[in-house]
Amino acid sequence: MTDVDSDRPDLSGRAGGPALTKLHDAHARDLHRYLARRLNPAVADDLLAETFLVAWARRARYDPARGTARAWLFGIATNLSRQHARTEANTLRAMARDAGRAAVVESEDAASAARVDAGRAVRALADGLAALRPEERDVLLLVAWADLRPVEIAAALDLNVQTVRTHLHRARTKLRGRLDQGGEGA
Amino acid sequence: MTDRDPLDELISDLRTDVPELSDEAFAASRARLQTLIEAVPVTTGPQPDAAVVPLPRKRLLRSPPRRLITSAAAAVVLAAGVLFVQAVRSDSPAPAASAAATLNSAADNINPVDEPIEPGQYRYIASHSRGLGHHLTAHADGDDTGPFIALDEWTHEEWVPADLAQQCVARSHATGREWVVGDEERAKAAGIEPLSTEVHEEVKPCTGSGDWSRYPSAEFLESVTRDPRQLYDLLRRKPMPVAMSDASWVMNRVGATLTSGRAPADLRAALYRALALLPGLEVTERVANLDGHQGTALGLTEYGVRHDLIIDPATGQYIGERTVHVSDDSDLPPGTIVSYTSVSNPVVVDAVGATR
Repeated sequence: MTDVDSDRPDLSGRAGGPALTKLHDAHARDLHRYLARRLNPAVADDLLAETFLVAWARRARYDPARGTARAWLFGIATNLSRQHARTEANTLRAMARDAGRAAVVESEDAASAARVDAGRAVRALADGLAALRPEERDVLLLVAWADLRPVEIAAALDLNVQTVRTHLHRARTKLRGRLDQGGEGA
Repeated sequence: MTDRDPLDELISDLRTDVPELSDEAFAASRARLQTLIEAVPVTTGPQPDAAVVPLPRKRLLRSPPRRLITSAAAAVVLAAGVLFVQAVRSDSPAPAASAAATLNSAADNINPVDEPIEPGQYRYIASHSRGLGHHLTAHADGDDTGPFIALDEWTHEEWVPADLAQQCVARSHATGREWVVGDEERAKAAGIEPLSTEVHEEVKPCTGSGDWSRYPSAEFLESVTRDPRQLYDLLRRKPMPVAMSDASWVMNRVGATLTSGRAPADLRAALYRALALLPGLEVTERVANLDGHQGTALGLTEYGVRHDLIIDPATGQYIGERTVHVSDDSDLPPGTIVSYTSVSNPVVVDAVGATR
């Protein structure tokens, strides 16, 4: 259920505290999932809390007219996760490795070719995500994992919407290239 | 036009197996936020014990009620969560020499013999609390009438018979409420009940619980080690998962046990010496005054909230505990004492109702 007040609450003034607490309760699990997928669950625990501390500190800068509070919170979480680039790189590397291993095991077991391809695709995607520029990865994952639209991402990351679309386009093009190589080769 | 791309679906399928946010992490995150917003204290009045309050259930946390009234008990849990998160990150220094010295000297100076009690007599234990005992938030539909924050004052009295097979009598009553945010009239309009100054009397078995608490059993207090190091290790042991740092847990449990007024002199001395081993503990006020009783405040600061135990080093008397808001990131000025409990030295009396 959505309503304007809870999607775009007024965080300034006295009501800001209760409103932000409501946002916490409503979005903590989604934000945590997003952070855990990008980084790891332990770092996500920390960054979830930090997201709301930053939100509280910057509540006066949240403009309900520009976007939903949910998008704004994902923007904060995304900016915070930038400080954990190495964790993200490790996570993506591990994902690529595991997918590669799974593909090998599956083929030795003479399992379906489809599964092998899926493993290869995951490896190609993980490698591809790791190779993206940080801003491209941010935008792509906010679309794919946080279900945000470019206009929301623009508000959340304080970017021009055209810039967001450009990042998104480049990210997809690069990943498609990887998939085409990784999916057919080997 | 849609902004989704078939590629996004492939990415959506990646890393779907990450574990869900745990209740503990949820509570910790919420608590850190709450602390910033309202500086919710570790309430130390005659409210339920922090240790026995279960973590809020997932269901409750997931769907915040439209109308939310947070009790002191919940505040304790929230504050506990705060301390947990902070502890994971900080490497506390060893206790400052002065804190340890103060505690050891207090232990040395405790009168080793408690006032003798005859059959038929009672130990009278009285404490006085003031604090954000009730943090009340009310949201009427579509009409934001909250939050309301009140400072409540309580007096808590207890008569513990010499023969513990008899019943213990506890009386508590509120002695006043001061609104920090909101006022009586608006609170009433929002459906918050006015403070009742009625005396609540509870007659209950004196058995107490076999743990560090506001109502520890005599057997438990008798059985625990008096060796400071072993006692310290024992205090650190949490009987259940509690979202609280080890140091906070130890402070919290020692505070509860001392506030109970039931710990015999040799155990009080051992608790002081055990506390002297606590990393991060420091003298936060050389001469602190609680309800006219003076002592030295020994405090542990975690996440913008300081928990002080106040002890008179000259006599070893336990004066009480308090919670001080020390961060500058909320509307409360740093240094605000958000709650305290002062404890009168237990005395032996002849009857329930007698205070001397």
